Amino acid sequence: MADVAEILGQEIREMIAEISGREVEEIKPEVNFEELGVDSIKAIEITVAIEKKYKIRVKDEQVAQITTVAKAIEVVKEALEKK
Amino acid sequence: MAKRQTIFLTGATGILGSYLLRFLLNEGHKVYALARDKEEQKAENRVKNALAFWGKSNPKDIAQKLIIIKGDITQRYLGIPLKIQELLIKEVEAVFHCAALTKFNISLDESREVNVNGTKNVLETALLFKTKGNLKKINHISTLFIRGNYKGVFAENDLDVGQEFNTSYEKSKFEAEKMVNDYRKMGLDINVFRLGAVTGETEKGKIAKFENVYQVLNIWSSDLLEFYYIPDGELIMAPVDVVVKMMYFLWMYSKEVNTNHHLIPYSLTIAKFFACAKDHIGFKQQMIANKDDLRIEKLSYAQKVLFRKTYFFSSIASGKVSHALTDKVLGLSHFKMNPLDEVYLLKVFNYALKMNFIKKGKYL
Repeated sequence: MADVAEILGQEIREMIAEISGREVEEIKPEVNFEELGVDSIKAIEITVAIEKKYKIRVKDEQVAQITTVAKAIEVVKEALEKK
Repeated sequence: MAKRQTIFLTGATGILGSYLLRFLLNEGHKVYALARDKEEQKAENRVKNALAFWGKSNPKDIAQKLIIIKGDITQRYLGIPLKIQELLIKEVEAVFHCAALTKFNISLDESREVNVNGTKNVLETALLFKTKGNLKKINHISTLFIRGNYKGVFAENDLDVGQEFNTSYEKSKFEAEKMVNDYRKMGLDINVFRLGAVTGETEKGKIAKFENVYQVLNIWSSDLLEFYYIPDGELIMAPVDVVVKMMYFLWMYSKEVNTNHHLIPYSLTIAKFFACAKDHIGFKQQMIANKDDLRIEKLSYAQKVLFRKTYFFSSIASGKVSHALTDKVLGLSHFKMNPLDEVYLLKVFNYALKMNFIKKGKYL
């Protein structure tokens, strides 16, 4: 059975794929948003989409830090653990 | 048939400049196009790619009529080597200055560097072309956003009406126009063209980059916020093909000197634009017209950032724009266009949808 972290990672990658218009396979953890053609507006859209789905609030200072797939996953994990 | 001229063009890789370049070449004019190398891309390729976006060119035409010059408007004499300057002095009869930074959310310093200092360098170069050569007319591309938050009727001859500015873009373009006036006093004959939000051409809605209203459409269609601020005001759209044609006619056929023009091919209320987009693209969000009814404090920080990016429309919630002088001159030049309506809006939406810049919502 896949563990929770794995499912979470997959879900977030799917959301990023949807907003960036890329294939899920391209959304590897280490990939930078810029390489995916994700501009500043789309980066914020990804953050807001994450907040909406997991009913969390990303901290002010973390918003600008979400520039890679891995960072997006890390922020969600951290917020969910504190819930 | 109007006389062929030799034109010096800045901003040839831009949304407006690339279409203008295509148009000028099609009309048989010779064009010197200034462009920068950017990252890995050479100036030459950047201009050719921008031109190719608007369709195939006749290679012979390009070889004989288009000369790409590597340069940078932030540098003195645009960074053009002396030898090439001499050639330009001999040949250039008109300048079209389209280069500008049109981003709203950058610092005032960044905007000024290109929009004010860059314009100064272009005008300084034009002065050289005029005093030593054959330059007759400069065409400076400006924006109706320079009226800032002014609530009155803004006319062609107005500039400083005590307005305040919503963005660094507005302020820098306003300062550029003040600079234009200084250079008019030094003897340059400068047309100023004030445009609204540049949008797709009228046949298929095609456009090279998705900026201004497209960015807002993108956020609207993302279905991420519960409400949007739709202030009372007019959205003045500038379909790229129509405004290029208007500018061309005003430049070629107007006998007036030092005139400002307001180009208003299509204007509608922001509320109407929102309603059309909502129906066609399919989102359910509420429209809030009164600033006091917005519940921004309830939003998360990320939502606030996203929300602020839709503020494009709060910038244009200004007063009316008059265009009587421009219409008069356009009338004399026999300029004709088909009136635009919702059908045009749908083309604009459909092109952005087709290019996957926005997505159809779930609420159709």
